[in-house]
Amino acid sequence: MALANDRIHALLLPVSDRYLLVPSALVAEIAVVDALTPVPLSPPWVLGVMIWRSRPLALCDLGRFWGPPATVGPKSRAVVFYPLPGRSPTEFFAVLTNAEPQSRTIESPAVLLTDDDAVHPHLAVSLDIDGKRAGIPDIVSLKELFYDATAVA
Amino acid sequence: MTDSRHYLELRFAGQTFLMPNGSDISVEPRENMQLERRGRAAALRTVQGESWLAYALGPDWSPLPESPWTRAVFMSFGASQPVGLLVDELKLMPVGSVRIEPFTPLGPVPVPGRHLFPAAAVGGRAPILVMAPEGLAAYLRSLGGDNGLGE
Repeated sequence: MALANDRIHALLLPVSDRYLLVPSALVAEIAVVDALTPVPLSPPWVLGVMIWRSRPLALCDLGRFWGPPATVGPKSRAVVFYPLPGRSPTEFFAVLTNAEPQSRTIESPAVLLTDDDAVHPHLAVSLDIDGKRAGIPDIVSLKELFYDATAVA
Repeated sequence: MTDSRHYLELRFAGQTFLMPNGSDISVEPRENMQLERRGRAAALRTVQGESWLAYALGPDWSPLPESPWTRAVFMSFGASQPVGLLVDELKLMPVGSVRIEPFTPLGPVPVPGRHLFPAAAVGGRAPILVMAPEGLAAYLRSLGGDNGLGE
């Protein structure tokens, strides 16, 4: 099955054993992972909080949802995302990657993967991009994961 | 005009936190406390016949039977019996000496309706989490005093 042949500037983020494919417009910066402060009582996919542009920034291990827990190494990067729709303009967040993300212009139709390994709770779809298994994050699902609707602002 | 407000800089479980000081918060030195375990509480202070329970927390914030604490920080917030956190070190830090930025922890709230760290100090290399005192008090109360450690 092929997707529509639209031209999209995107980033392939190496996360666990696959890639996340995200539009470049969602990403504010690719940062080096600096000193992390643990956030007690957080779920295990929250690795901690670091300082980015004089702001506290939560760093997430999304790869944990489809692979083993990540470890921060010298090649690791924090991909800083703009706040999700409807959230405060200060609520940037970061996703840990194994290495520097790759910039791609997605032009040719991509193959939609439908095998069992392609289905994950926080991925909207899985694709084969030049032989790489990639998933597009489900933004609605991530928003529900990140932000407890019962929290008082 | 000088801002006389302070943060409490608290160190426990190997981590440093800040907490805004206020009239609902009182600090007691170890010598004013009874080293008597009561349920999951590691110490208590008896005031007018009432027991104020105080908890020592580990790195995952589960209660510990003991720790190298030197002071208890009690929080009342309208409750008849304040609840305490046992800390290894405590310093006062003038509000103007730290840069605080808002923070939204990710994931479910640990106590109903509340996150515990609504801000962080960003002046150093690593951020220092700022605790919400009412949220912290709610968390400590949720630990209860009736379930013995290891029981």
